[in-house]
Amino acid sequence: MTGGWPTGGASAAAPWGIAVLGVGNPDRGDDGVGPAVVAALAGRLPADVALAVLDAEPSRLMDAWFPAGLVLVVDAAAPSPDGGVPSGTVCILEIDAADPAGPRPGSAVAGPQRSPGSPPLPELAVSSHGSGVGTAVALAGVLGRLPRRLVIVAVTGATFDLGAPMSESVRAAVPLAADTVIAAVRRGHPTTTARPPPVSPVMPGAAVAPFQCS
Amino acid sequence: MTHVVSGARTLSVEVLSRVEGEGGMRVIVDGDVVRDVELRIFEPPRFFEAMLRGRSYTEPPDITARICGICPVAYQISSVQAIEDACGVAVPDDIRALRRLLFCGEWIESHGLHIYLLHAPDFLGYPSAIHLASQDREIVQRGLDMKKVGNDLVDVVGGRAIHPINVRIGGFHRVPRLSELAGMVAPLRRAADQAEETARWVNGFSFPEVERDYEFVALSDPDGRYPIDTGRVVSSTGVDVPVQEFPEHFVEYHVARSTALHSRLAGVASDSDGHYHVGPLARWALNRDRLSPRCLALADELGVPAVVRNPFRSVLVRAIETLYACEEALRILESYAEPAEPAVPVPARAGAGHGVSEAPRGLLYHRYRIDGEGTITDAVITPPTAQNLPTIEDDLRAVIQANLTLDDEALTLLSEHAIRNYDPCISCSTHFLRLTMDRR
Repeated sequence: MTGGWPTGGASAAAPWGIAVLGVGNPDRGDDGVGPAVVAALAGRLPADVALAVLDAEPSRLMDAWFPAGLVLVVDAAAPSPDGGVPSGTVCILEIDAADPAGPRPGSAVAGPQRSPGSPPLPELAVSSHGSGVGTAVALAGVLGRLPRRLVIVAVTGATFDLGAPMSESVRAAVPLAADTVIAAVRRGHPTTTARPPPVSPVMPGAAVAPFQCS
Repeated sequence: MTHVVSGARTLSVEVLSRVEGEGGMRVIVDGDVVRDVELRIFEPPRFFEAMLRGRSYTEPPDITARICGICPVAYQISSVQAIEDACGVAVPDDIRALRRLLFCGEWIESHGLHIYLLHAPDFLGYPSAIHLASQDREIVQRGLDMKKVGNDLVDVVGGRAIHPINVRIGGFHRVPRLSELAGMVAPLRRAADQAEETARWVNGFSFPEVERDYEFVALSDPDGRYPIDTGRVVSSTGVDVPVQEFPEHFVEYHVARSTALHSRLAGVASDSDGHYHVGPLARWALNRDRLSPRCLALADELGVPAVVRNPFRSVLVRAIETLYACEEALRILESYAEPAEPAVPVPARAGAGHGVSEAPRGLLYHRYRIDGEGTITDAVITPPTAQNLPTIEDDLRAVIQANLTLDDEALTLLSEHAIRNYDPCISCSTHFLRLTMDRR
């Protein structure tokens, strides 16, 4: 079911096309949160929203998200070095390719900040992958292959061991992350009458402590 | 980061980037002598071999495809061949051709990824492909376009580009329609041209000078083609055996510092001997004359010798192999007829079977034992990177010894570069690569 989505008026070929991409490896503990959120979204999004699971290989991500209008990437985030961000925290990072400062890699990310003029970082410290979403964002920025709007829904993980299950805190965050995606898609979907406000850079979960991304 | 402590120098790169997966390496330099080089693997051993025990003999292609996101096809093809060997089944030529076609897609995407996003920045002095792209967008876009053709080929034959789902023992779940494959012809022709341009581009790189006396090990294709999907196991010192004899000639051994097994030739006095080299340079040295005329003409034009012993030049061989994979895919497509059946029956029978293929980064061996009910009782997977680990250490020893006059930062970068020559898939052997260098 589509949860009360407006019907009609949208086609998959529309230039504003929306895609939701779950990134991660289900065999590596909390790295599986992206695919888990995609599974939780099955049947809950309009039929014209593409829904897929990917690994974090940058060129495949770029192929999947360009030239879509709005792309939501759901991925696990590495634990913060100081342990100050509880696992299961859901955070939104938004990148707008039309940002006047962009499309410099990561320049519009409401997350780990870089000083002006610093070289693009291969990682934005939001992904659990060695060469992942951060690299893809940075490379796509340089190559002009970012979607018009890219929203990264990151869930802070605790364990990424091979063969490990998702931790309880991350598993409990899956519904919130899925609802976050639905809300963002609802705001970006063309059948919604009013232009939505920008997605909040901070998405504190009901069950987790508020977390400032920056 | 670099520390200076009581006259001793320690170089440390906390995370080695641009390799698939994660791992660690420690280098000890005592005065003017490289005393030791150790690959240290921190993560627990791979669970896949254990995971396979007790599972059905039909499951390895889907389970092992998840070992690596870059070379899942190699895992699938080695595994199905091993199971079919155990069950005494040989698949028809048309199924074999389709497997080889799928494999070509993997070579194109894996080599494209490594050349452009992982290895070229080393040669050109950029910290990453992002920096390279910011300076030369068209070059990187060319690489990504070429790679995408490989992705698309894996997608159309394998069912999806990541962890393909269409491979099964005995063949495929579904064979692609001619109409689906026809759309790949023009992109593959473009990709072949791009691969040729790539070879010319990388041939202009400046290669650090090092020559190594490798024992090369690769496959030899039964049909006389360049080895990709199957073959006998051959070496530069005369090994020439069927895959069933692989365990008699190549042994795995454990080293305390690593949770990945290392490999060496059997019959040598100690683990410090018998190291060997798998991958593009081995395939090239042992099968060069089986490449296409276009590849050989390009190699001649670029002055690529019959045996390449400089590991840094592996990037050039990868580019030529990419051209071959495009041409080979086109050759298979031109004569493609949909197989009458997508798969042949493979009834379970008790026994052991062996399978081998050439992953983009080298020979990949699988062995399974199954019981009469088709339950897997034992599984052994020997990935190419695990086989190359001792040789990577040997390379580092040679490269560092020859460049001790470099400062710490330059020497550390060069060491990372030397590791990346192997396109190491640490994900396949294990995880987490870090580089630490101690100078005393």
